[in-house]
Amino acid sequence: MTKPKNRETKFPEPHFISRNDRPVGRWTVEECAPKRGVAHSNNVERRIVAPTGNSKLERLIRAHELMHTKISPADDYEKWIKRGIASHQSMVAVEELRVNYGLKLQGFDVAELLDGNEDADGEYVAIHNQWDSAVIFAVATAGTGGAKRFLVGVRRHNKLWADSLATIQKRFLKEIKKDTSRASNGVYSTRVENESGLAPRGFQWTERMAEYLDRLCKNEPKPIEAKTAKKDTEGEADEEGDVVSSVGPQSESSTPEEEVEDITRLSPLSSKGDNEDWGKLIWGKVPLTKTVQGNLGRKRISSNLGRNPRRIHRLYTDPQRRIFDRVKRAQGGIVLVDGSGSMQLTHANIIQILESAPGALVAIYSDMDRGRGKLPNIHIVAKDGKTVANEKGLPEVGAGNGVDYPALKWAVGQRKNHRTPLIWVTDGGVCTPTGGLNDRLTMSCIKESIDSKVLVVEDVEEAVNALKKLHMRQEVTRNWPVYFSQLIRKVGGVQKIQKIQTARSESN
Amino acid sequence: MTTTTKNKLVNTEKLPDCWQTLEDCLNAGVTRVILFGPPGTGKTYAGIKHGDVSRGAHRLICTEDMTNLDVTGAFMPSHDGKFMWVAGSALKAWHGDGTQGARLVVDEIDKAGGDVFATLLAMLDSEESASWQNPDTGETHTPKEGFSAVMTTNIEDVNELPEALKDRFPIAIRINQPHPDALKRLSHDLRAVAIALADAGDQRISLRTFMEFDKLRATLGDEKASKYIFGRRAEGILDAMKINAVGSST
Repeated sequence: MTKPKNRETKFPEPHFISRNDRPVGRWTVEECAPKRGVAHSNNVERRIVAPTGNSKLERLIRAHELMHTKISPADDYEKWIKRGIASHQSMVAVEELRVNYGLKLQGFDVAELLDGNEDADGEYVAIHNQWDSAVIFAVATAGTGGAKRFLVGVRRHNKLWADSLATIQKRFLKEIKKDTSRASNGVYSTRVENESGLAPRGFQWTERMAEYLDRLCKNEPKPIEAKTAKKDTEGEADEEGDVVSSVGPQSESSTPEEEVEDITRLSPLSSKGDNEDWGKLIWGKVPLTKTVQGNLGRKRISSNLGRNPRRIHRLYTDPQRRIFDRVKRAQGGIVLVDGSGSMQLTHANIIQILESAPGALVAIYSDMDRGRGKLPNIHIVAKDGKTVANEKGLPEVGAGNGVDYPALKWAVGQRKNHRTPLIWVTDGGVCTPTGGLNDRLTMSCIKESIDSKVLVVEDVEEAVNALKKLHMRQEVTRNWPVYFSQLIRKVGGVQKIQKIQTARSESN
Repeated sequence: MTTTTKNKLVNTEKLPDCWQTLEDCLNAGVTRVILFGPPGTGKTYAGIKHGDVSRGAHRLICTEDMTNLDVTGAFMPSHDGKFMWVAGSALKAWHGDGTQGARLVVDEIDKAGGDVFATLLAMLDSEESASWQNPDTGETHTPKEGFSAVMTTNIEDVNELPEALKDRFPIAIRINQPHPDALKRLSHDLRAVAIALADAGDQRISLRTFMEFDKLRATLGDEKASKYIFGRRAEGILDAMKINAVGSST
């Protein structure tokens, strides 16, 4: 790089940055041009690349990169991505906003942070109809000088988008302002989170808002007329409801409400209990001494080949004279029961489930010692055609939840193939061992249920009906528990979650 | 602080690896140690104070111009117009309190000239081989039991030292951060930074500099103190300190 003579170079000072989640170490500092996307920092390798000039912009870029070294994840970044709560690109964008807002809090004038090409970027995304790129850019630059220029560029070609993007930027800035104004906020904390073991704790804010950003990316604003027209054409599909086939993958239909939502209706998940996490599964054993007949999904069907004519009446009634029996192979089946106190299950209820699911793998979970880890929190109560002898053989349940998500993940892993029916009996009141209930954790259960085509039923009666229908190989409709459906509505509906999940798995 | 309290502190707080290694070696009775690494981390201080120094520690600071006078001794004019023999640091350390040897601390060993270096090699040889004859009395001196030596140098790679010297000092420890006891003299917010910058290559700022900065900022404030102490790096350092303060309460 050609430098003007006598130009005073100013390097960033990453050695002055300390964090609670990792020890200090030696940094490598390199020089670069003051342009967007060129300056960067690598917290794992302890390398920072930033411009070294005297201008205000260069100083701000140095500060921006230093803020990344202070608050952005280092060794745990992969783990944050693997949690699957938000997409990588959304987390990157929201992290930019968190960094810039942090600079503002520390007295830096981030209005000066712009490289002059933002309006061209805005025009590009509007012309090429790239809504998701537009939202990502708008959020990443929110609060900086670049944000306004970007919106100017977008507005030249699409006023509706520009207005929506401005609303989104305001929403994000409002959220971070609100969250940082609380006395003991952890938005910029670099501690290791106790429950999840992930660091830095402040990145939870980024993750939560990135999940919101993911939804916004799939929610392109449409003119009212277009939206109405779209609704008319798709109205038929909406009426189908959320149906789960008894044997095949569940239908991809959506709930009616998601087709009429707009950006202002979406909102970020609640930050309440953000530092909570699931407990670990501790297995308990109960003796499975009673043999039960039948098998979930197993069925005898008539056949014109066989040895024992069990359906002799068909000789006269069936043109194909299918007088023999053929046993159709069972799909198997898994029933996971939330045994927490809020379910108010009696032993009789559990027996009822067991009787309705003969031969299925049935497990029941409930955390009985508030996460102290001394008592088992999950038991298998039926497996391979055997179950407990009587009520006395059942494990003690009826306290907290604690392990909903790990139990669900385990149950999903027990499937022999993707068509194996999996029923989760829960009222949706999922919570951590300490009783913490939050949107993030609930969403992880919902996403897993959608991804893995889990049939969620709210109570025993519904479970028994569903099990009977499955036994008869009939279609079963999934009715989300109230807790779940409220959150699903908040995040934009099942279809939106599916779209985000699909986009994420494709990008991975 | 009393020794008991200090010992308690040392025992209860986890020492950084480099300092722990030194403690372990000295406690195990190792008598020859090289401490190398960036300046300003307390290597010399450790040589003088750590381990068994009950019979004193004698210090040598090597330069190209120094002579064997400092090492073994020389005839010096006395107040009555005669010449008398004055023992050097190495000889004094050999003798210690007369019954047991003391500690010899040799700073900047890599800067010693050829003559001195050769003499030092002889003085630092193993107890069985090391001996030196006084030219005045003809008396042969050998190191007394308990004699120990700590060498310090700012070189980054211990392999740069001559083979003969390395052979006499099989244990070489890179001291890359200030001793926790020394850090306690700094304000809390500067401690982690002082550790990071002690071993920051070209960007290095020593503990001494931080102590001066800490003192100065108490009266002049961060901005002025930074300008006076860090010069043209002040702006970047002030920005970094501001950024480092974000979320400090959480």
